[in-house]
Amino acid sequence: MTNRSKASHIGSCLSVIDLLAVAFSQKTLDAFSSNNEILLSKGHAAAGLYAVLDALDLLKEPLESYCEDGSQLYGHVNHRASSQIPLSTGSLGHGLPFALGVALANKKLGNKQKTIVVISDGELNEGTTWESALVAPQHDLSELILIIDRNRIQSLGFTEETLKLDPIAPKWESFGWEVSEIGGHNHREILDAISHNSKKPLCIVANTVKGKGVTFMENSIEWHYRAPSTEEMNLAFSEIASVEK
Amino acid sequence: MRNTFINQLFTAAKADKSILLITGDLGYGVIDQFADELPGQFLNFGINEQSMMGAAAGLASKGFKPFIYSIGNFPTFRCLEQIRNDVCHMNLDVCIVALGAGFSYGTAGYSHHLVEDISALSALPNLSIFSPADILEVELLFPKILAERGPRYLRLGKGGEGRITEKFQQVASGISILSGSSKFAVVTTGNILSEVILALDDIAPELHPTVISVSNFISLKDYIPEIKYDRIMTVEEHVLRGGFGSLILEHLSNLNCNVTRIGIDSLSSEISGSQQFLRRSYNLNSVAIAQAIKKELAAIKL
Repeated sequence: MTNRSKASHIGSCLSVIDLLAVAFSQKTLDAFSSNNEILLSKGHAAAGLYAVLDALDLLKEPLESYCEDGSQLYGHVNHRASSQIPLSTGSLGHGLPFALGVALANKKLGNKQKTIVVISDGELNEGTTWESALVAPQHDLSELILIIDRNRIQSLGFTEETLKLDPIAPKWESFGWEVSEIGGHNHREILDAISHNSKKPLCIVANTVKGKGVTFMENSIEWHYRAPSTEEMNLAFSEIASVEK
Repeated sequence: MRNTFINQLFTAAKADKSILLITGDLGYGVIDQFADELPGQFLNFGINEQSMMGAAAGLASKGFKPFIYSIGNFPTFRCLEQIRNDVCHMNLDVCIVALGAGFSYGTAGYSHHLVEDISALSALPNLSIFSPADILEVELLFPKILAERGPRYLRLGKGGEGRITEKFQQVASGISILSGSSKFAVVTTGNILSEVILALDDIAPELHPTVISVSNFISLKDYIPEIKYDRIMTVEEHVLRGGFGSLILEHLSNLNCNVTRIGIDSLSSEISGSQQFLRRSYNLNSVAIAQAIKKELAAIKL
């Protein structure tokens, strides 16, 4: 997708894709989770979200149309791409406040479903994130799950060199959230974390690797922007295929 | 105006549990009855307009009808991108209610002057704009605002506007007329209408222009191209660039009509004072408007 369209953000997609794959698989396979709503606030990882939804046959348009003229699968998350996308995103810091509203609505309606919102660690720079950090515990939104894709890289550099974020867990705990920390590529850990019934809003710090699975993309700022050439794409696929074997 | 609105909303909310009143920690003395009697439908979100707007969109996505209540620039400029992306692009049922249209909060200063909102918000998709002149227009508009789906924006004066449209006839939803000249009309929006009505006292009755008060901007599209005046003067307590007069000009662009716009040329950081003082300073008071009308009348005679 990113090779053909020459689109950016393959590194971001690979860091978040396991989180999305597990959350959407749980929603698809587990009847109890079928009404969960999953929001991807880091809208620049749209290709990752579309790929997951396509694998589960939940996408309205073929994956090949990504970033093609007239396609609904444009480069940042579009709610028209699938009925499973509650919000179009692309500007950072929008997903969590919207998710607050969804979780508040479900609480008022007596629905027990989870609202899962995935944000990038870069979104911890946004004011709305910390506004929402205050709001969710105030309204006892215990069915709200925030997953922070902690890949330690933001647009121009490493997060800790841009705005120091560590320690993340105590910050959210002090705001009144329950916090867990997991390996963000470990499917068992992801599933256990999002299946946990918390009495408070739940913040999951998912430690991830930007560009995960492709050695030359991992932990590289360059791959926030670059689209892989055909040669690089083939190299990446062969590495992923060798791991799968 | 705000009391009239909140009272109407309170009555409607008693019958419709999906109506929510959400405030960004403002509305002292105005929202009390609503908050006390309908606590499940009232939310003081705190002083966080951006998250409040995003959450309102989320609530609307689940079938609620949130009304966001705050002062002037806070539920508009402070969260403009949330309005654009989360509310308008998603085309959700959120009604934004901004108090303090124009210079209603005069002495409060620049931060509280709501004089650029029409320019900014009229550029957004799916958003219906309502700008009543007095409590009578609020009463007339309210059922429309309630029935309308999608994003809505209601700009209200602070209060004390009285019943200035009592003698007006409604000719379309949110468009009311005080008949006068068939050749010359003054078209206004919001509570600056009170200055226009005062200005008429200074004009011989047989020379009075027709006065048109526009409180529902959606109606402009169908109504304005139908009107047959040679000269139109728009009056707004708002900046001219991209404001109400500009919208009228857009709708009149295919007609042979002379348009003069009265409004704020550019907002000065050096002028401060009461609403009356500011209106006088920006040539928006009844005296200045009467002079402008006379100038137009002289042009008609020529």
